[in-house]
Amino acid sequence: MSGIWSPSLEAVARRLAAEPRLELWFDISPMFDEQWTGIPVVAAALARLLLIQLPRTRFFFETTEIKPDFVRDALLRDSGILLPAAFHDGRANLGPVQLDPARLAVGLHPSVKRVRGVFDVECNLIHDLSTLITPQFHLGANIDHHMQVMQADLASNDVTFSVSAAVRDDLVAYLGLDPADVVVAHNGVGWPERFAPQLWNDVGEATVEPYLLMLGTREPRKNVARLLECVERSPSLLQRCRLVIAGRLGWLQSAAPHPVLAQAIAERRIVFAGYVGEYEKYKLLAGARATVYPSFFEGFGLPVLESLSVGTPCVASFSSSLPEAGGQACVYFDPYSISDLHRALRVVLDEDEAAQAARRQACRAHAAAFSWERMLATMLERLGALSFAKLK
Amino acid sequence: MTVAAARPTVLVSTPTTRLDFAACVLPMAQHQPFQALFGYEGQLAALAAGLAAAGLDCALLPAPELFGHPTALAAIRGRLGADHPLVHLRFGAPGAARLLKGARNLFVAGDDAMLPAIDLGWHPFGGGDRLPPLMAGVLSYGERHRPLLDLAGTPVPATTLPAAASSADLDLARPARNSLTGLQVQSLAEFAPLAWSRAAAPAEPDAALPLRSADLHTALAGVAPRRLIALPWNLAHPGGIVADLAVKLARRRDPAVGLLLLPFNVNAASGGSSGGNALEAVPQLAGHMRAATDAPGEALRASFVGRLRTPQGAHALRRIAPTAWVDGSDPEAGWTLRRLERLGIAGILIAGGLQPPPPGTRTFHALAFHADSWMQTELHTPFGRRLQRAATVSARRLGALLDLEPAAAPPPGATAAALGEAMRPLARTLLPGLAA
Repeated sequence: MSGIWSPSLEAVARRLAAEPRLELWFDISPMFDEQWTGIPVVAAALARLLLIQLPRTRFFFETTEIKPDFVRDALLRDSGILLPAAFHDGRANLGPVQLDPARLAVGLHPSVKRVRGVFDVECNLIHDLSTLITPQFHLGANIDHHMQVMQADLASNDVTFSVSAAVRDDLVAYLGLDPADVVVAHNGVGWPERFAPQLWNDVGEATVEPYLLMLGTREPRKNVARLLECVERSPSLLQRCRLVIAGRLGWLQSAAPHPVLAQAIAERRIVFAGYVGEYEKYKLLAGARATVYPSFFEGFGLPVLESLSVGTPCVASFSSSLPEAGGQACVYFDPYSISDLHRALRVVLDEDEAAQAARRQACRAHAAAFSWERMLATMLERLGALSFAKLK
Repeated sequence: MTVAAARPTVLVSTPTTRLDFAACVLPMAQHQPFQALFGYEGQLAALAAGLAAAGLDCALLPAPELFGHPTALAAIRGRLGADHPLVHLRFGAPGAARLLKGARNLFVAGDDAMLPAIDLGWHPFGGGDRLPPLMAGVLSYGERHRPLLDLAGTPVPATTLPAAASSADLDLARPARNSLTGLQVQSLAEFAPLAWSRAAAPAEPDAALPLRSADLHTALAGVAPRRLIALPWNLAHPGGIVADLAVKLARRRDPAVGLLLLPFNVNAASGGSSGGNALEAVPQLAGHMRAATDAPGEALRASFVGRLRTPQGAHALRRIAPTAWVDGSDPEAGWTLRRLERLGIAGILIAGGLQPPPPGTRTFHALAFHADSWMQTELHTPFGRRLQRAATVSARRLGALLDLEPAAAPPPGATAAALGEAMRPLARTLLPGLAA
């Protein structure tokens, strides 16, 4: 990632804004989720930047244009909790999407398209091909939903964006896309400026008992069972560190905790924190001795980057895109192997202070190469090139 | 876990929904197939044995689709101790084909393994005849009449495997005459899906024992001894006639005959839905049989579920069930007949007049029984909705099918030397640098 040229968002946005015959439409459907994790976080980050850099951007849900004020409100709340009701009673709506025939309309869908073939130039962002490649991790309805739209989405795209080279390679390997038609726009990472002082106010220089953190929805794909089995087999790990597992309860996963670990849970050596908001996540990440990301399959692995961005070392599985997100900064392990996970945890936990400091610095340096600005600039650069060619 | 093979090694994978493997690459000795005769597991066992005779080892890669980054590939290489290019052989249905990016991927097909159905879904691999573009070639156990295609509709280059490859495991294992090793049989009355899916490998005799039938001795040597008919059951082919035949046979309440169901491709339907146990189909069938007869207890105690996990118990299987019925609508019927023939079990192919026997079966000693009835099943699969037709046998004509008792004996098998000779060109093709 480091050293790869990427355009400046300001410069690209200026070029697009200067072309009056061009209008950009942004699909906010992922932001309708109440709890933003994963794809809604990406959509929100892009929407936030578009409101600043390209204030003429128009927002839509399905075939209805949405008032920018409602997008801003959701961004302030870090939640789409009010959007569905405001959409259904019409308060958020500006009316049907109306395209000016004198202008070139560019539609940017940050995830699956709910409508296609609407705009003069269309694209969507592919986060992963998990429902196609690893359907065992998904519910049937979700698989059906993706299978019904996936090929139609890709066929109606003028360009397809992927959040990682791993996803691009999957699109090429499994669906035969021409690599030239897929542009990798890596996810970014960034925290509101208020978070750092807020954290100082909350915690200050207080000593925090060491803990390992795992972030992610509790579903089989995230492989939390391996992590629990690891600490069960190596109780000394729990003596050195607590284990905090934060994330909402997903699917295909028992709500009941692992019975063998019941005592550790009762003694609060293992804590299931449930869903956490953005600030709570930042606070947990910043305070952790290390994070663990044992996932079997990801399109990118945003929690890895979030961990590195606050200087917290990450122990991650070497599956799918995770080594791409974590680069040289992570310690990797085989997601099937409990002993390899244990080895990787020991690498991080056994480091002396100097090594810890060096690792923290390396983590931050790696994460600094990823930003939402860079992601959006990459997308707009390609969309601009396509649009200007059509306008000629 | 280090595989660290002394010989050149190719990676193999089959469809699975299991997540409890100990490492991303495993020695083949740790492969625990549900059964080793039919379907993709039989194909894997046969090809692995054939390649071994030619100097090439196999290692199991449970989930190739998870790995592709250089970091992961380096770890896989390190565990193999391999300095040769990575080759990945994929077994199973085309719709479940998965790839190891960064390796040469080849798909191993058992005959024309396509679902003869009307696909109403949008799934890119819903038709059953398409492979991902990165699949470089097809290795086929039989001559393919319909080629497998890439997504653009172009045939994927195919190579027919040497005939000896289809029974290499059975030939080399030299099944012991009186051995029950690897053979597990239970009556439907005793059957518990979880015990079958969790039971350890047959190398652990204590784990295998609970899956021996208390009812089998009664059925075979009781006051009215029963003749058992083997019925291979492709669980990835839910539109087949196995359940129909079993229920019709139960309704006859014939004390002289019983069924030995041999389920296979237990995970092959894992194209999408998960969390379920494919073996639930067995108790569901038992439920149908219970409802279909006035003496359900007797019917369930006289019908059996079995599997052969290693070839050592093959003689015992043949002794228990010398005849097999084979569902002609099963896309893998040809492969099944070939394996039965090698065991010396007489296969009777049940096929409809409008549906010719699967390609290649003419060369076998299978007896074709003309089915006189059709059933149509609407299936909701991860690949879309299907309407599937299958030829079956009416209750009226079932007697004629039962009257058939063809005798068969296993044909002579290949020796290790002959097998090695037959397989060596393929082994050299897979890994060009392989020593002669």
